Amino acid sequence: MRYDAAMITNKPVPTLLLILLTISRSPSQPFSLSSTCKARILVLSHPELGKVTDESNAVVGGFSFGGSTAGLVAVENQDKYKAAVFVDGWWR
Amino acid sequence: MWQITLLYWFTVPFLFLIPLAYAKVPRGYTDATVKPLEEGEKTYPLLIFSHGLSGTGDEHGLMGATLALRGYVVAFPHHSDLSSSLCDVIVPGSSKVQHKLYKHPDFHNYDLDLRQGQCEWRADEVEEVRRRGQTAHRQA
Repeated sequence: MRYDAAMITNKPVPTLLLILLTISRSPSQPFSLSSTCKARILVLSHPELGKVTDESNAVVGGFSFGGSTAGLVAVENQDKYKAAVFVDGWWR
Repeated sequence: MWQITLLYWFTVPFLFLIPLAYAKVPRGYTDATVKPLEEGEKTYPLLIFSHGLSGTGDEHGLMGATLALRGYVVAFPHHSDLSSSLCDVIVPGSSKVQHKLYKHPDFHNYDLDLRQGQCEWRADEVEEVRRRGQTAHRQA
């Protein structure tokens, strides 16, 4: 069964509830997607994190399609990573 | 049966409306101080973890927070090759943010090189994270 927006929005009562709930869930500070960006910049430019990170002791890992990504990274950069972890890697 | 239908309409639609911004990763902070190094400890190992297809780095946040607590510097990048359900990218040369959503492949004219190309793109991004760490280390 495919779940999509039409399942909900083609019914009048749930549609009304959806609208009401969406309005009530839209405060002055809405769901900000760029907060992830800000956090990323914060981490990458963190003055202390660079000092304590040992890049020569790096491990690459990934889940599913990320597992195949990690595999590719590990194979292409064998001298830069100490280990590779694949969680349910996506292989064929 | 009508009770189940009623329950469905009054519960399931609301689940779609819960924004992920309301989800909190336990022991995950954006303003945390770095744990001081213990005696004999010079640096922390780095772990870079790639998310799955249609996933995001956030979905592994709990694992990342736990590993960070155990003395790893962890990086969970969002991949910008349109294989992530949501990835926001800063447009070069500006402060604008571009939201990249998951793109379904065209199953009628399926490109056999699509996933291979995405995998290579993602591998480059993982390497970039490691290189950025090195840059931060030099600047520090």
